[in-house]
Amino acid sequence: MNKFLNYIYAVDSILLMLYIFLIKEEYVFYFLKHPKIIEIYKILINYIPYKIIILGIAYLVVLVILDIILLMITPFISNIDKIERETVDEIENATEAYLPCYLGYFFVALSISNFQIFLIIFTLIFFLTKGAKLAHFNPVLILFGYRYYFCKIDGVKNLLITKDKLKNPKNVEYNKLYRINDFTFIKI
Amino acid sequence: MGTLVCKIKQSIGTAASKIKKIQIDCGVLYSGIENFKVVEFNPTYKIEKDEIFVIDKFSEKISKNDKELLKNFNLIAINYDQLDFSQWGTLDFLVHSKDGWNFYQRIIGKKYLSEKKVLKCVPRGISQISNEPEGVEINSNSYLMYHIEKDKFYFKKLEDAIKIFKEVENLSREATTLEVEEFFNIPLINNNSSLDKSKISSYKRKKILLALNEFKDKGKKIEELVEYGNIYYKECFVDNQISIDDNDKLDIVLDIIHENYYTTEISGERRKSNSNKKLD
Repeated sequence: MNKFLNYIYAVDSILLMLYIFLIKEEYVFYFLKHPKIIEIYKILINYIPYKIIILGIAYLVVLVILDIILLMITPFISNIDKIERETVDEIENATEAYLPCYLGYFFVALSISNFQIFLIIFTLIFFLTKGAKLAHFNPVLILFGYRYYFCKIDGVKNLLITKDKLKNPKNVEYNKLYRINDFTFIKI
Repeated sequence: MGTLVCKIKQSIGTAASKIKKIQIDCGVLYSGIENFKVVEFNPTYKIEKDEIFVIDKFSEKISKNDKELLKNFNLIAINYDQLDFSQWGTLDFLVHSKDGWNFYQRIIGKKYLSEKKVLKCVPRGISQISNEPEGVEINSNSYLMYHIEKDKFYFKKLEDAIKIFKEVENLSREATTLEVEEFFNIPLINNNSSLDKSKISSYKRKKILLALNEFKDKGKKIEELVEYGNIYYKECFVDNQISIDDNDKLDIVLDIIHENYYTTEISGERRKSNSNKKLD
């Protein structure tokens, strides 16, 4: 099951790229054409007179819902791990390290105009993300207040996703962490 | 709280990559050494039921690769990959870290892994026939323990210890032909000894290696041994040397080097000890 979780987190971490592409192309999925959603759209358009902004909000809501579901299922399909006190040698904020990489994804999404080409590039980036092990950086989780840290334990660098503000490696202690892959752990 | 990891049989990869995590926070799985008398390891000593061997400064005596197995997995379990179901059949041995101790258990594979095909009914009504292993027995009395802080390795059965740490074999091995030659060249022994060196028993070869270590490790001097030997076997010495013509003479020389002859303090009786145990 752990491998399955690794796959979902890898897809989830690059979904924002799809989000940018869909907004740029003003692509409306079938489920957004549901009569009730169209009713909500008609009300919203009175207040926000830009179709693209409403579409952006709609897709963001979908992304947030997907991430909430992901966070909810993680404890059921993941292995539990822990970090003992005073075992972390170094701690480093990882958020900055991923931002340039994510800007790259945005530019790719903005520059492609063909959906088939986008799918190919998306699949390629998915395999790169999955293979990179440490690259499960999901900007949507930042909206939920999660932070990304590199924790060096006995010489091995692990990626830790947590809402806590970590500064002193000696104080880092977690009794229940969920394993996304062999190098990435999340505290929910 | 303890952590259970295992080492898998895998031809490639570093020592760390062969260690897989099974479970954190497991309870008490193995028995400790509380009820045992600790005896310093000596391959020629036969331990009693209530005794256990110990090797001091153990981390200095094993290879760099095996040092990975001495780590406190309880603290760094997060660094190891989770054992995958597909690797279940390749389990080599288990390591349980708890309270500063590491407990090791060999897995005698085929004994515990089911070789029968198993019919399984899985959700959605699809049946599967597989030959999944059933399980591995946790043997609480495996008695292979390492105290991480004191750097001491405790064990009862030598063959079990060797299966986990190969270097333990070097500590109990027999003297090689070259080492036997080296032994016969020490000034305590007459060069014209007529004993057939190829017929020296395995047990005596072990004692020969230990005797050579007595010179290297404890710095015993020939003059002191001659003086000591003369007290008990004066008739064997010719020009402060003993000529080893038979196995009995070899025993005498080995016993002199190991200082196995002694006189009792009160009754003044001269005796020979067959096995030694260091008192604390």
